[in-house]
Amino acid sequence: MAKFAYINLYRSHEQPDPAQRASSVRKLYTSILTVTMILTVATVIYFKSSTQIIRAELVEPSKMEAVKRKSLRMVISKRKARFTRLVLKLKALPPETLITDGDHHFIAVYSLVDIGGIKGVLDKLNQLELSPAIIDTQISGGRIIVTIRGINPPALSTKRPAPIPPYERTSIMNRIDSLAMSKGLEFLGPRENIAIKKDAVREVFLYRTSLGGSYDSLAAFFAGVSRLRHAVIPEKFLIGKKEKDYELNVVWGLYFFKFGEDTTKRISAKFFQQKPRVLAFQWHYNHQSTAPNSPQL
Amino acid sequence: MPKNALGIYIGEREIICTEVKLGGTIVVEKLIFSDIPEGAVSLGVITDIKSLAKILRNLLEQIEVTTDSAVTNIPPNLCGIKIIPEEPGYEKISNDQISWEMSYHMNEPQDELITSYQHAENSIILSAARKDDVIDRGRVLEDAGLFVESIQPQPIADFNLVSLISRLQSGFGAIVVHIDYPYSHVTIFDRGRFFYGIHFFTDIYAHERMGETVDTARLRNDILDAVRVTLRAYLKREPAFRPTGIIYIGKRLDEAFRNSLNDRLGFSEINIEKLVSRTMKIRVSTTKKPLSQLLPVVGLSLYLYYTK
Repeated sequence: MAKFAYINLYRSHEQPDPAQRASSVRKLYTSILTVTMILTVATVIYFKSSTQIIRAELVEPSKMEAVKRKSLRMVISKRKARFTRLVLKLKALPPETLITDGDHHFIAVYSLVDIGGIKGVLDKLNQLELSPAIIDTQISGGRIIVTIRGINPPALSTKRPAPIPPYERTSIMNRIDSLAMSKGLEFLGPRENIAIKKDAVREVFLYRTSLGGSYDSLAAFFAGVSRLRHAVIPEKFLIGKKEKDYELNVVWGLYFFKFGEDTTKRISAKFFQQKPRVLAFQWHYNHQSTAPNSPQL
Repeated sequence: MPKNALGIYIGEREIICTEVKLGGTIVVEKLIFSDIPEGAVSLGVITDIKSLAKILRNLLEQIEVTTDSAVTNIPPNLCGIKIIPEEPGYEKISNDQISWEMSYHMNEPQDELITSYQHAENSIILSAARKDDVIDRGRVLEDAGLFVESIQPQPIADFNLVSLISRLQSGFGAIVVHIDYPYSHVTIFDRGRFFYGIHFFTDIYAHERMGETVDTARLRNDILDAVRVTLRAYLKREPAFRPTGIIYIGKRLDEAFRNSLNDRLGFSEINIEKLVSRTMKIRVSTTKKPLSQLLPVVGLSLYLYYTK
């Protein structure tokens, strides 16, 4: 007879659930993990501090400032808020013409009855924290035309806009149009598709809309668009007064990006830096822009 | 490469857990035990799986076990062990035939039994237990996060234990008396051959006085009868069997009580501590849990020593 009896009445069919297994042996592994982590952190701190000391001794510190990089979603969110705030602020003092490049500069043209009104305009714009500076004045038709350059300060926004995939573009455009109609704006022409810009992390669909109506309606329309949860922003716009009403020309950008790739902050920063400034001027006076990287209108 | 295994003893009133390193030398590395709520185990039958699993999990966490491979016991009153002489052609016996035969030995329907068997030199060891009893014990361990490698009848584990600790001695034979509550049992180890005698109810009063210098006539008579019956049955098969001595494991009996038993049976007691010291290392304290009670739990984990 064998010297060992291997009578066995039962054997587990499956390995226990990892969570359960962990509970029985977790203390050992937790201890090992804790010790390993402490050692790793200590090693990293040691080498980092020693490297900094050596660098400080050998190399002059770089005078270049560190570029603050933001994620694409954050940039879109802030730009959206910034545009809307500018239009809403200027409700208090609607200009004859308002042009902006989407960055922090804007140009507003006011038509005044007398020269004394200039001070009132500047005071009001200062009150609105738009840092106005007169860049041109002229007299036309018995009125004083004052051109003011202002600065639209950065806006804070914690909203995280959702990307607009290609198949959703039409529905978003229709939604924006219906929003315009609901605010009492008039369509001055059909939508005009301009361009699709692509890079490694995003795809931007640009289209142009022309609308007419009162300034208050335009402001309400912008406010409505800003409340959309989608990544849609006015890339550039021109608001001009025609007789009683205003005419709005706006290029909307519908952004599509993948969440995982949204963290490539370096590309985001570059992307916005490449944009030509005050492009709206060019397509107001010269409908075929020659600026580099500008969409063909 | 040495491997570790857990031996989990689920008794009527306590759970004992050991972690054993199964290398060239067996090393008992960890030991922990705990009382269990009254009624959670009733005459060997598990009645409260959840609380037992919780207790076991706490014990495992306290001693920080390093393996989840476990072997546990099933007491002798809940399992049947039958040793039948091998007949020509019997090695071709099917599981159905074994199950059918054991259903009669156990007096249980065939489909309510779990059976296991082993071909030996000139006999076959058959074993069976009720499905529910076995699965409930398995669930206690599984709910505590363990992988059950085996559930073994306690007499089988005892045999494997004696087989290991006597491996340096040739011609070793012993009568093994395992004292436990509520049932004790007697097995024979004859030069590597296994024979299972009987199990008997251990008097509750005797159980409570165990370890003290109280001699209980009833317990003594029960043990004497069980040993005599077992020995007589085995000598019918192996008339030449001459045991080296008698081994007491399980609940510790008072020395005077054991001497009294030995005198009446006419056998000397084998010094188990000496045997153990030659074949395994005990790295746990045996002050609260005596060696005799620790060894059957170690015997359970030896299943993995032989099979893997």
